[in-house]
Amino acid sequence: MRILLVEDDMPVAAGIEAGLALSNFVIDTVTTCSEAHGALASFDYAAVVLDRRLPDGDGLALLQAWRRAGVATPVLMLTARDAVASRIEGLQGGADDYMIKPFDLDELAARLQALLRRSAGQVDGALRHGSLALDPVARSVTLEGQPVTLVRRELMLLEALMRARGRILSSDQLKDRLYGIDEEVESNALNVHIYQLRRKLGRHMIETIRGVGYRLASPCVDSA
Amino acid sequence: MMSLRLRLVATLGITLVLLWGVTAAWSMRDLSTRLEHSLDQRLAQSAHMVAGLLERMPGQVWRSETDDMSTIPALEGIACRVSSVRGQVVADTHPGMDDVLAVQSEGYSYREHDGQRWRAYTLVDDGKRITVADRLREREALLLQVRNAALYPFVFALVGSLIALWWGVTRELSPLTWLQRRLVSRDPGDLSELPCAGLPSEIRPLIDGFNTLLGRTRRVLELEQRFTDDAAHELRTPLTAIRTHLQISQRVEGQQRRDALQQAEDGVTRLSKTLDQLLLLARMESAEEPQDDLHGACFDAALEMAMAETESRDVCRVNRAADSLAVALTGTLLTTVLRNLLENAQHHGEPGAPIDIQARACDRDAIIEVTSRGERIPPERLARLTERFRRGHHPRGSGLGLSIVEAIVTRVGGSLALESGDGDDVGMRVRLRLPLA
Repeated sequence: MRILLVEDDMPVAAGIEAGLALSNFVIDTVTTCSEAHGALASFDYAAVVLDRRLPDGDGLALLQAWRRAGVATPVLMLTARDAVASRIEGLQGGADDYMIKPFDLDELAARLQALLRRSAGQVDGALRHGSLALDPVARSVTLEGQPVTLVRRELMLLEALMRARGRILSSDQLKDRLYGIDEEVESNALNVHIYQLRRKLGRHMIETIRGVGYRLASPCVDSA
Repeated sequence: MMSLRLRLVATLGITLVLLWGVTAAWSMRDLSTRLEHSLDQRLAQSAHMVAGLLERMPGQVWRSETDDMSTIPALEGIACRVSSVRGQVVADTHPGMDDVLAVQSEGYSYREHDGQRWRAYTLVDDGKRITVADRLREREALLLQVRNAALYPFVFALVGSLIALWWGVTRELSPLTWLQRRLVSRDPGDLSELPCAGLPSEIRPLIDGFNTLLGRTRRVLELEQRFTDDAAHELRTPLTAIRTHLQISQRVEGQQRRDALQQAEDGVTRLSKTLDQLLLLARMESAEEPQDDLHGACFDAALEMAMAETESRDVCRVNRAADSLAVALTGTLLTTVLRNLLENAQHHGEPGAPIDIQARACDRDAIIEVTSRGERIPPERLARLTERFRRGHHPRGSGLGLSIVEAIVTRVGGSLALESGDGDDVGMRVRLRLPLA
């Protein structure tokens, strides 16, 4: 899942980036409000981790501007201010969650997972599609109850497709979710991952819609 | 302290009662005198009227020596006797009342009969003596009636005035009561202004003063709140970096692990520096440090030390107008001041650009200027640069450097001035005026 991190303090940003990468998130880091605004307008992020204090303005003001503009992306706000009033202010300003520095990396990852789950309207921690189940927190996949071993990118690709719940995702959208802005992507990398997934989960699990993109085949077709 | 309302009512009420009382006593006295006077006049008139009537009676009645006396039916409380000068009674209303009516001399007199007092008037006219008398009891009853008639309205008016006074004072003091209720029911943290619309002009200055005070408190609290927020941010951010990198170091191996630990260590260094600066600032702003240890610090030595600590010897261009300046600061503090200014110049100015340092003596002060090249800073931002945690737009540094310099300089009675943009590419010029040792 691709996450936008807005944090101006480089050591902290580097820490969060490295920590969330360990939990299979793809992180794009920006340091100012204006960069954050630009990044959110150009890419499709699953969630935003937003620092309250930024060099060119208040993170909360930026969030309020997003919410007014109808941006529904879940936002987890980070702040050093622990007063209850400022937490309430943050939540009322449109934040979906609020964490106070210093925080635990695992908790940040878990809260992000919870945000993604809620924004997908999902109750259970695991994503399900027919007999296929993916637990984003445990990073495990089972097919008909049997564990399937997937490498990191394959897992991220499957998660993106499962979260889309049958919608078609284009190659670009999938690449967006799999790779950060700065990462070099080989032209056939996505095809390789799709091939591997099909090999491990069954040929019909992922459908190719020519000229449009990919989606998960509906469960009944899968069982047929 | 008695309540204002009670005091007002008491003062006005007592004055009112006293004034009314004196007026009433005076008019009562006047009334009784006048009443007595007019009753006396009436008594005299009655006597003259009787004399007038007797004028028309034949003369022999007075000269005859008979005991022919006519008794006139008596009226309650009024007596009359007509007699000859020799003492012969001609007509009488009360034959037994000699002690009232047997008067020799002409004029008014008080008489007593049977335990009752009478007022008598005797007229001697042409050989006749006419005595008329009023019983005083009737007079007193009349006076009492008149007094009562006057007293009831007076009491009514007095009580009415006191009630009106109480009501009026209460009503006029109601803005104060309202204000008191408002202040009592106010949230203790509420620092919003009190409205002064509709308040009497005597109270308004009070409220204005109160509001000014509230405003000042609000600003101080805002500054304090900002300082707390800033301090929390400056301390928690490196702490966050330390914690995340330590957590990462537990999950990765090799070079990645070493990198994470290095980052955590950098965080510790940064945190301790911020803490040191905060503590120094707190010490400078409190009066704890003794002032008498200021024997004077040598500027040259302090500058050498500061340049060494900031590794800026290569870019610094020092211009001394005086041979050796001794400033009224300890060596450590002067080094701290210069180090902070040099760090600031390094962070603000263009990388590698020269930093000009000038020092000269002027009267009894030392003027030290540190000038860096770089972008012009707008005046409104320049003015706020000495605020604590104000970092300009560069992310490095804690934002405490200039605050510390200002605190140290102000402590010894010196001053700090910031300039920007005048002259060729002056990014920022900090001018210190410090007293010489």
